[in-house]
Amino acid sequence: MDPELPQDRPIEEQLRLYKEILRYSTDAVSILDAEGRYLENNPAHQQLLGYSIEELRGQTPALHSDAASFVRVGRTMFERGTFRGEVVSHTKEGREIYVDLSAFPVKDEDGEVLCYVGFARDITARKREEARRQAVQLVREAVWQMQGGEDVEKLLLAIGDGLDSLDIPYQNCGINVIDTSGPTPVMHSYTTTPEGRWLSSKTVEAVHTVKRMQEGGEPVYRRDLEVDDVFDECRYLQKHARIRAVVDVPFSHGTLAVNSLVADGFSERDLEVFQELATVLSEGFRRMEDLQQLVDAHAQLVQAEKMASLGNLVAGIAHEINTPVGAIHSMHDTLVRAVEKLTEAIEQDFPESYHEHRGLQRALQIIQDSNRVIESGTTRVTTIVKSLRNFARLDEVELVQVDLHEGLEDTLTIVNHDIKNRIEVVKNYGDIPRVFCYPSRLNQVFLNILNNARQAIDGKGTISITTSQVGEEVHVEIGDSGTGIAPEHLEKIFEPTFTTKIAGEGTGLGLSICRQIVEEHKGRIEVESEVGQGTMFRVVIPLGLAAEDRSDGVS
Amino acid sequence: MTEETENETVVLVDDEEMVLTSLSSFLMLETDYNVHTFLSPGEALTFIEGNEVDLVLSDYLMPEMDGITFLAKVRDLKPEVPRIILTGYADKENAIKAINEVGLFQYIEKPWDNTDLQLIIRNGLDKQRLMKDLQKKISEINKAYSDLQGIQQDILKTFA
Repeated sequence: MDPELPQDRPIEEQLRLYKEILRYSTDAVSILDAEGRYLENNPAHQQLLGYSIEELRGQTPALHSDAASFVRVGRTMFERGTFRGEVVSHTKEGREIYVDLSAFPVKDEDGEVLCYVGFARDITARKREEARRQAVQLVREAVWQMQGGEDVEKLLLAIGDGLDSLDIPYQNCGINVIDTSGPTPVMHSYTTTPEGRWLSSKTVEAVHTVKRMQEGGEPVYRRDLEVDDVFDECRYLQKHARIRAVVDVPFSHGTLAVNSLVADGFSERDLEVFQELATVLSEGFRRMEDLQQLVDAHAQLVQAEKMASLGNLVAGIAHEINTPVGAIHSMHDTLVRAVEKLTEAIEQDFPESYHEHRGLQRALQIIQDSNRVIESGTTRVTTIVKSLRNFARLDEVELVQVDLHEGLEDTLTIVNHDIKNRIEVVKNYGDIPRVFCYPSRLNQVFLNILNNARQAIDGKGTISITTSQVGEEVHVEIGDSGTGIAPEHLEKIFEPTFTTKIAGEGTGLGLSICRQIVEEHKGRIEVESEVGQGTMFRVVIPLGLAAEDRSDGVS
Repeated sequence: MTEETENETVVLVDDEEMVLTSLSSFLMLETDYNVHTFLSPGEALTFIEGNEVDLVLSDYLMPEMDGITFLAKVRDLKPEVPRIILTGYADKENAIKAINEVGLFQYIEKPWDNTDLQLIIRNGLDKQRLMKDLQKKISEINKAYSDLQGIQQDILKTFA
């Protein structure tokens, strides 16, 4: 059979053939007259816009086109003769759709326009997908730029913009962040409500509700609070507006909550968007947490370095002072001996002068007084130097067995200058065995606690140091009669960078490093405090440390 | 025991004048030693080489050469002379090592106690004197022995 081309057929048959082609085309095809009024459309076109040809005839595309798109197509057709591009249109029911349109004129042999033909394809789904991706990307950027809690405001604005751009009918959205670093979880809620600030949620139930939802891992969609308010949140949520539906989508650190004034206001598609945003939030918050850990670790390292260089400095100074002190100490002893010999000689050879010459008597008395002062002075300097070098003990990087009382005494000597005239130190040293430890590291812990204690005491007060053996542990308790620590601070004092001291007085790292050091000893550090009564730190060091360490080495 | 009345010679070396003075004044007050002080280990070596010396005490940390190196050179010159090192706390480890490596009689830690210092020096000198006496006795015995051998030869010759 020879192929038969349409033009070889009678005109009527050709026309029927073209009509058939148009009828089955999946692209929407429309034919407009020279004035731009609808003449004909195919079923795909009717499906796209929802108008039958009877409804369209005599109308221009202005009927359904977005005004801006209509003007743009008209101008381009006028200037270039054809149009190819994306336009926005509305279906008969009023739904906005995105269309990829190709329009061109059909002319006769004289170049007169006979009609216009348009081919259109629905790209709404693709556009929505793009918009969604863009919205998610904006949120991702916001979350990645987040440095800390204060940037959450920007993040929420980005989420709001994203939801707006996707035409999701939400009333407001918020993030609930649960902080589980303390002994009891704390929740920070941030919403786009008129208040628009971090609201630390005080109600324990709210924290637990959110925590439960977060642990569930799945979005919780309460479609209508008036019938579905299992958490009795209605009153709280309706404080600002009449919220009917709430979605909580869990992420790594809490939930993303979006509410609507309309019951069942969110579609499945909306829920998918929320989940995607929650994934982005998880990534961002985890990264922020990692970053924080890095910052903390760095700060600790810097502090440890500082302590080490302080140790070096102390050891260096002790060494430098040692030589002159040694000379003075020896010279003074020699002087005392010389004076003794001198006195003996005078007494023996010039007994009259010795007993009666008042000037000589006075001079000898002055020499004796001087010697006494020099002696007590050098003894004190010698003790301080000894304490300093014992405190630093830089040479001992391995576990050694020491008497903790010596370490406490050395450390007390170092803080003595600020204690002696106003604070009474009460020592209740118990009968404790020598313990294996890193002495200079433990001395740092004692120094830190003693410093805190003396700073906590305003004016006169008492510091008590109690040591005891409890089972297979040695307890060192350092208590003060100071101002005490507020309960809300108490659970945070071991966190790095937490400080209540004014800038320059404390780094906030002291106690976190203390805990680290004590944990290196497989021990623990505990605190008890009452505002107005004082604070007591308990350093607990296990006795079996060396044995454990050795068995670790073998295995 | 004729040597006991003879004054022993003690050499002190430290780059710090105040340490030298405090050491020497004490020894001069409490003992009859001939005390010679040197700020420079080099000069001290020259003195030790050319003179009869009974004990050398040196500081550890000195800019010219450290006390261990100095005392090692002293040992090379006069192995029988007791050597004492004066150290700061931080150099203790090194000093203890040196006791074995260089063969030191003792180390004294700063700040030192004068009575201890005196005792250590006294012990060092006693050891030195005993060694000297021993050496002398050995050479006397050796001499007596060779005299004896000569006599034996003579006797053998006589009776042969």
